[in-house]
Amino acid sequence: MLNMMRSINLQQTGRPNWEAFVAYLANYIGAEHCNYSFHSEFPPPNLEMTSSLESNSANILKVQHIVDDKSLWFAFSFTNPCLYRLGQERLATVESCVETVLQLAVESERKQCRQHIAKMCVERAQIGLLTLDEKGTILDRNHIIEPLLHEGGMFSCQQNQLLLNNSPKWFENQIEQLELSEHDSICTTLKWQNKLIHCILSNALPRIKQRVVMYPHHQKQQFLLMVYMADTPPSITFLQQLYSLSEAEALIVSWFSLGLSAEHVAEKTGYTVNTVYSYIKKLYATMSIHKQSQLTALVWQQQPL
Amino acid sequence: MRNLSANTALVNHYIQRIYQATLEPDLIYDLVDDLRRDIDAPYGAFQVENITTHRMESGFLMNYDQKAIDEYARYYIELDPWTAAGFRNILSHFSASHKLLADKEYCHSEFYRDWGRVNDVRYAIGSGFDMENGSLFKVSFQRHACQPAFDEDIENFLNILHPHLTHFVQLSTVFSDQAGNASLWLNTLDTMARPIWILNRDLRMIYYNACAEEWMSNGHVLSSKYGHLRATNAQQQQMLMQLVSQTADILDFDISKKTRQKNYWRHHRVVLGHHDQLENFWLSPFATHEPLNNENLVLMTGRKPIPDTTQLTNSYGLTNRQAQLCALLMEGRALSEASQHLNISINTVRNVLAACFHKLGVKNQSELIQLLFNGM
Repeated sequence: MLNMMRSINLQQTGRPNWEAFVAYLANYIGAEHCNYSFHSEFPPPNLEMTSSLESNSANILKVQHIVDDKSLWFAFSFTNPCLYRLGQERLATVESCVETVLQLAVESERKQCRQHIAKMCVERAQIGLLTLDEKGTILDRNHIIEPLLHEGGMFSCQQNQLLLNNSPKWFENQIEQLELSEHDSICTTLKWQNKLIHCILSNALPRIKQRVVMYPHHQKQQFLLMVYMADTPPSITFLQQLYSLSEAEALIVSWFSLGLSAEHVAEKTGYTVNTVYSYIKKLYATMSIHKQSQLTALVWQQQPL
Repeated sequence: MRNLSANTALVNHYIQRIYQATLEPDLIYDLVDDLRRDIDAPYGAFQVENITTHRMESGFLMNYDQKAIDEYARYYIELDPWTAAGFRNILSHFSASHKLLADKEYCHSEFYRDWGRVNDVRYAIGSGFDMENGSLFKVSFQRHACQPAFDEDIENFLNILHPHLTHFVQLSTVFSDQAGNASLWLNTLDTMARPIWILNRDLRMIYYNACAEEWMSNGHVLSSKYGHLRATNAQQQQMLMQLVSQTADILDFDISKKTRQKNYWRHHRVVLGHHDQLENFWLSPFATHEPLNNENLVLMTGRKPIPDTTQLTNSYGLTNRQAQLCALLMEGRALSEASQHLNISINTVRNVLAACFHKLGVKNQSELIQLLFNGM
């Protein structure tokens, strides 16, 4: 029985191993062949039937299970009519187990799917995200953080251990400060190659944190580190749509919203200072605002993931 | 008489939760807490021991004294056939690993004292042992010999749950490696202040985070019905559906065509809500993957809300005044407006602002606002 339960879970693919499960079940009830399908109708349109299933339909045991909105069909074929009856009886005895297994499989699949989505969203985020344990070991990270971890970057990564290059004790100190302060997270700004880099460290498992006291050996602490460079402008297509701007205007606005002076924006974009001024003036008029900080607030609130 | 065992709804509720916990072993803590409350078993009189994870290799074993450990092992070896085989092989690790621990706090906890005293346990169910991972899960409802028996009703109730808890113990070891770090990212998305939806073409919500749930429960702009996303009126619903469908189409383009690369990261704007409350949402192609049923999915995000002051003080260690000012700046107010709003002079506002700059290491208002929005 445990084998059957184990077979629904394949750790590498993260999906239930239906073939192993069905093979095990078929073996248990003494069937020769087994087909299965996730379609609401049986036989499903895209499934190739084994020859014995087509020719000898009298000895086919069809079972339908409906778990949530999914239905799963099994078709076991028997060459021996005696085994057919035996199979039916045996199947009835494992029925409740099969039900449990299926329910768990669907649940597991749903969970996998959620985790997959979470991972993809994190990959897409515009800020660097790292999860660490309390010793600074990196558990997972997204691609934005990679350039900072590479050789010559701000951080280095030795044996999966996060180190800030010019102060090795940085992470330990951060954790210590976080524990001392009663806040959920701690924010520091670092300078690297004349760029401002903001790091926000927070306790990734605030709910479980309280439990640690009660079950000291059960849960490790986990932390989330958000890192982003202060000079990453928002995407241009988004600004174009939001305020119906031309590409050139959007480019200027995106740099200007970072808090750069008009001279700096001109330098970055290759337009003259006067052009920059005139675009910004025009934009201020349409948005009825007066200050750069107001522009930043409006843009960054709307910035998509 | 509470008549627990006859309460089908309650029994089913627990059975369901037990199976949920199979996939997320952490849930068992809450479950057992609730269960203890329901059967009204105070510590000392009746003990309901929580699940414990003993990791043999790394020595995550409770700090029992040697006598207690021997008793514990003896109990499992002699009385529990399920773990007996496992323990016989690994008993040497079992007694050695406890020496690695030096946790005094646990030593003084209720768990320890109850265990250390008498080990004639009446109820102890669902112990499981996983040789490959070297871990043991145990859920037990136990009563010591010197204590009075449970009510008949409670005994019945526990007897009903017994086989399911055994399932839990067996299966949680099967699933335990699955949890991994991916669930951490789920947590991360839930703590984000920005609403996130993953939709298919029919606007069925494959995923949404905690913030999105809040949006839908308010129901001003969006709501949910039978797991589908609903806009306020039919016209907007149709527009949303059309845009989502268009965005999903982008995923169908041939990879070799340049259009895909260009459009892939593009966000499409959709404006929803009533006339007095219009909100921007952004649609972008998300994924077509096997784990996601090979459907074309679309990511929808909304704006970030303005945090309240307690959130700001907690996250950035700002004082109350500083947080108030920051919240106003994030709303897009100028300093002069802020000074009126907070009823303090413009110079005081500037001083407060300078303190914020210093604390967060930024040099102008734009950078401050960016930092605050990015940190959510």
